[in-house]
Amino acid sequence: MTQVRAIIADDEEQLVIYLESMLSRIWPELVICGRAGNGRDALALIESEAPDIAFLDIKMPGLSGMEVAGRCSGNTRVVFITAFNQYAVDAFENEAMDYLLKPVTDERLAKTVSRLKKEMEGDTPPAELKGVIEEVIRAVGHPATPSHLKWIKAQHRDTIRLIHVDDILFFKSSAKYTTVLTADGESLIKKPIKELSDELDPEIFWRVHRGTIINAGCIDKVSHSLTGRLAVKLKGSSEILTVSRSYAHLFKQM
Amino acid sequence: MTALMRLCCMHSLAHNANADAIYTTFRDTYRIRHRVSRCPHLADGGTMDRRDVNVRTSFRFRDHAGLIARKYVSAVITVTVIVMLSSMMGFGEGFVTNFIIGQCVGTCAFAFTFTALVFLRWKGPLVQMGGAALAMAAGACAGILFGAFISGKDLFFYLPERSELIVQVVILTVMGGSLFRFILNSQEKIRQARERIQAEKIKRLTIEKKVVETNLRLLQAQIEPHFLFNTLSNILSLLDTDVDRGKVMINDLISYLRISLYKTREDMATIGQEMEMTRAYLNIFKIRMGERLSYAIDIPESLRGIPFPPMLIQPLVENAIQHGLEPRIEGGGIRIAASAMPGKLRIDVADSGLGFHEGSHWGVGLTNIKERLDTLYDGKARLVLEENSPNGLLASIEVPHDAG
Repeated sequence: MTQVRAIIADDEEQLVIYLESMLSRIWPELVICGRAGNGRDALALIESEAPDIAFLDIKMPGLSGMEVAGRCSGNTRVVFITAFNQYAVDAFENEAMDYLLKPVTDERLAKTVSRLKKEMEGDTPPAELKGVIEEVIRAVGHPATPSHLKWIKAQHRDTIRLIHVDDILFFKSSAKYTTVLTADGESLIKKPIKELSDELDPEIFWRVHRGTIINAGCIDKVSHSLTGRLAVKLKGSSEILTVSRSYAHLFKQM
Repeated sequence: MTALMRLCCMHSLAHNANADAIYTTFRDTYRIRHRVSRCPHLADGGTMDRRDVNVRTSFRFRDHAGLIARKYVSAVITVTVIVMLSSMMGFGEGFVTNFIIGQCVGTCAFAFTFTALVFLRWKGPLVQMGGAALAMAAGACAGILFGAFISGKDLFFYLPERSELIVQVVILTVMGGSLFRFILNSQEKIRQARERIQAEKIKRLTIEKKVVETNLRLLQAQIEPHFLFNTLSNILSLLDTDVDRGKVMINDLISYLRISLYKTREDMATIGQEMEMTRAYLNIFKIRMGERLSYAIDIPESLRGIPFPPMLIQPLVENAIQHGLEPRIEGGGIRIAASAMPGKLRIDVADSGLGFHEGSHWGVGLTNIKERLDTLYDGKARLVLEENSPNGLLASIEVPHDAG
């Protein structure tokens, strides 16, 4: 049998050293032909070295272990390494993927090694991972519930600030920008009102006018103006915002 | 029979008091509906009651049935009391006649006034008051006619009045009216005060619930399995390759765990203690990330003893590492500084990592910190996040502080 070659990728150097030393005890014939500290390097290494086995840490800068496995082509078998993470483990259980939990124990590694050896002797081709991985990335990376916008990046005087939506009294569109008012004063963002109203939590942020979104939690009072229109005053702001007729239903009895 | 006229006068003025009370309550009901008196997302755990901020455009009788019934009962009682008093003093035509006429006047005045207020509910207070007064007068007249018709008395026969009596009647009714107005208004005030106390209680309970929730989340957050298992993996490895560094790492893990596990259960730590914990945490990451991480902690000696809530600084650092530095191939640096300004204390955590980016749970930890600050300091503390130049994030916590 020809020489079996492997690479190890983990952003924590100590863990690369550790896995290498464990492998040298359990599988002395295995040749470690490369080490990488991030996903980008790992992918390049797989492509240049075409190893038989790649031990990939899942959480790595650049590209995650999953993304590396999803992109690499050829005859490389992948073993993922991960610290405890229930989602990931659940996702793996169903599939033909092998994984090691950190801290890696001798016993568990021996099991993986014997499985790899058997697969290679039996000449089973590496499992087709791409589809599976896309599935797992979807499941792990984006847990179902789509959340509403929580932080807004805005120009505040000469700095860029991140403002939590709870601190915002209202958004108002002006010529080029959208003005955001908080207790700290005005900030500017580039996102138009229309886009904001789609992304904000509609329970809390009410669009009361074509160019105005208010934080309903900050409503101080609502009154009728002389012309019979509704006008809203918010806590902590002296500005009176008019409610256009087409949005007046927000204030009516359901 | 003049006495009966006098009685009617008195009724209509006493009803002025009742109408006034109706008016006040009615107006308050509408005004309160215009107001969201508390933050909706604080109330009962995030569900929002839009009815609180509805402005009504249509009037629905059943929404006000309780109020109307209450006010009508109080009007009936007022009239009965007046009738009893005046009958005892020998006014009018005896209790039964007085009672019939009195209740007729009362009911008509009440109905007229209320109807007027329903129609005028969006007008200004002056228009409402004027309208109510006119409606009440009209109602009283209608009531007198109606009552006289039922009890079979001919009121108009005695219309030519003796002037000195009228003066007496006016003085008497004004005094009586004011007295009733006073009594009714104070009842109304007591009721409102009770409602306020109730609302306060709800608010306090909501806050307490929030405190418990955030503490729970804190306890859950501190046992971060990823951190623990990765650190233990590193220690295992160091035991093979570099025992001394392994020992250092175990010691840092111990100090981090000791302070975080114990201090979380306490309300206050000191800035010094929190910084020691953060330093231990950063030392651990220094070993794990190697050259990719550098850090500096700059805390004036004079600030070390100042009380500070536990587990606020470390989560900021954790956030900087997790979302700023670890995912960045080159890594970067963290700088922690504390400074006292007049009236406030400021802790800065600046990193040179990826900075704000969409997705992958960015900002969850920061939202937790912000919510904890809001609860702990009742909105008087804040978390300011700015873009660091040339890259990364600058997070500052500002809390109130009296430089003693």
